[in-house]
Amino acid sequence: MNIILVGSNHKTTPLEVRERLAPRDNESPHPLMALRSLPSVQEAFFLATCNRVEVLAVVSEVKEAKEAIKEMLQKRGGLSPKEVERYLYTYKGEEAIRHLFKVAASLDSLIIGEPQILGQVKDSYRLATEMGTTGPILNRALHFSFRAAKRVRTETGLANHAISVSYAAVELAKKIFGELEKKSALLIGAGEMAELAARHLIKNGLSHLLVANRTFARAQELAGVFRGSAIKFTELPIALMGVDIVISSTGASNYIVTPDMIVEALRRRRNRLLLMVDIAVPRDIDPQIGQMENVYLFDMEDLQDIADENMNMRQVEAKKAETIIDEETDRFMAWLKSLETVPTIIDLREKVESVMNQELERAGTWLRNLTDRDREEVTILLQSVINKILHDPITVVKEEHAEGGTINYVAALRRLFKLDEKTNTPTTGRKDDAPSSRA
Amino acid sequence: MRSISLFYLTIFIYLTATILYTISLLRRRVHPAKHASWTMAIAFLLHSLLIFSIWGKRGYPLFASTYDVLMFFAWSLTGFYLLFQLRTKTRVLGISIAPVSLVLLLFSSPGISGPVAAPKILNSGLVNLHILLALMGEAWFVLATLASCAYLIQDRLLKGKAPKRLFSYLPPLKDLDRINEWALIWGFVSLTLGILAGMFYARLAWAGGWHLDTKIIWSWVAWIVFAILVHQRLAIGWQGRRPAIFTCLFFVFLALTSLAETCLFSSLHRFF
Repeated sequence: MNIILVGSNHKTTPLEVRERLAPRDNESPHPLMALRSLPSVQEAFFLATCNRVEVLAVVSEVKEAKEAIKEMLQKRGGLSPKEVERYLYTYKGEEAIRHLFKVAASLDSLIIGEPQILGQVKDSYRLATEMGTTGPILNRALHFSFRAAKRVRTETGLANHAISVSYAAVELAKKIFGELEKKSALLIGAGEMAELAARHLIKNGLSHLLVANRTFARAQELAGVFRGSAIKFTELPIALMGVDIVISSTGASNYIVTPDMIVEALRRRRNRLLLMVDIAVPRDIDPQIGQMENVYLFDMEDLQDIADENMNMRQVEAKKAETIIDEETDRFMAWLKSLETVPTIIDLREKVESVMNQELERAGTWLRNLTDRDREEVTILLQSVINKILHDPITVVKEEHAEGGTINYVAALRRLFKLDEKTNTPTTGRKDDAPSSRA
Repeated sequence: MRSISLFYLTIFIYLTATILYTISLLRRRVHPAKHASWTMAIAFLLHSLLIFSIWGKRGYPLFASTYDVLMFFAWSLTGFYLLFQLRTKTRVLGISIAPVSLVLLLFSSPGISGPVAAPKILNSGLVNLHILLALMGEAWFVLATLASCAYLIQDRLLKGKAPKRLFSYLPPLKDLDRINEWALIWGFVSLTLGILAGMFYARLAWAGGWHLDTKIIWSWVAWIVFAILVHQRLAIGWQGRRPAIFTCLFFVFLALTSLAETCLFSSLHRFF
């Protein structure tokens, strides 16, 4: 039994590849079905967002499963073998769990602490349970990830950080233009963050919005939402002459806005001030442009710095969050370890024997009336009943262990006999009764 | 006597505004600056009362001494700043105005004790208008310079990606730029009219030879400087950093030449 995670995210993969892996409505057959049909996969969880795709699976045969999952993703995204090698990462065991927890807690997001990702993980989990692809291990892993995310949100300041990042563009605009009335903005690329920033700008009085996107239909759609106008990508140089604020968030691998374009635009703008915000990773706007007079260029790093009043805050809070993730990972791994056969058999025997001893003690007055020999007989009798009852389950578990598929049996045993509750480890019980309330 | 107590009250209020601005600066909070602007407005009202009560009592000449000049200059500077304050979010700029007005007023305190014997020429209405407009022109220019300095600092902070608490404390670039623009335009108008009034009077009163007076030559230089800046802004379309830099440079140039002119040359303009 092993846990593996195969995926790609915004850090490893350029947008054009991510787009091919991105979630689709009514995808058929659903990737979970494909995963379920893989012989080496026992449990599976599938997550796809604009920024990432992740497959988490409990597998019997790591190498085989890894290749099968990669092949599934490759087919789904139409990737070349080279792209698969380059962009997909694989984590095993503890690292896979840690990665899952980081994703759920938004530590692996483009903007650390952004809240949407947890909802996306929960939705994907719901779907997986509905389709019956998760089992005892992934159920527990996902619940642990929710708890880790909740703790990161309540015990660290990373959530505030995310809110301020999307607002940073507005603060900059206000410090440059004063009022935003009669100002216009141009969105290049129609990503979520750009949309959020545009929303903030409009709320603060921005009067007109232009949207440029490679797929014109998407530009029109977004322009419709904000009552702006959509323009074609080829019209960018002209649009740059008129607007006051540019927010760029395309996934292009090279610069979309070049110094030449801005030099030309500045000549026509009669030196009007221009604020450029580049929230793309990798960047869309050539950093040289930031040196030009009356142009103010900020990238993602700058926005994050501005968002944190205290420059050290983000690092300190991120460290706190890492500690939480480590704690939760350790707990999960401890629980997982308890699923191994031998300790469970020992636990089971101990539990049953302790029940027997307790009952013998309770029957103490009555037993005292018996002779020593009779008393011994009773004890032996009980012992042999217990052994007979336990014999079959233990044999079956041992047999299954030899075939490598004990998880469900062991998990069932632990649950049926409440073995975790007896030992009273913190990993026991329902997800809510965990000690997450420690502030 | 009444003007003396009014004078001290005005100084006290300016001092309060300066202290509030300093607190705002030290704590990098705009909030104390809001109170400071209101305090400045009160100081300005008192200051106006003071000037008009002195003028009302004394009549011509309005400017009988350097002290009168300083007091009027401080009044113009405060007044013009407060005018912009109504239209823009530039409260923090008051940090540079309040202490200047306070110091100028302190320097003018000896003048409050009473009228000094002044040359008769200063009684002419045209001459008074000439001085008034020229002083206003200079006050506009000082305001334009202060706004430009703030602009250059803010520009540096934003370009250098300074921490938020620094750049969010200073006024928006656009507002500072607007102050520079309008202060230059109004300063140019004031100075032009002031020079015209002076020339008109000189033609009537003096036979000749005044054209080459150093102060007059300096005034022409100042006028040309204004003209260049206004031209670049309005006709060429300069905005932002460049006019700010040139305003500051020209201010330093004019201040130095004015100092040199006063120290090194005698002038028709020296009365007290």
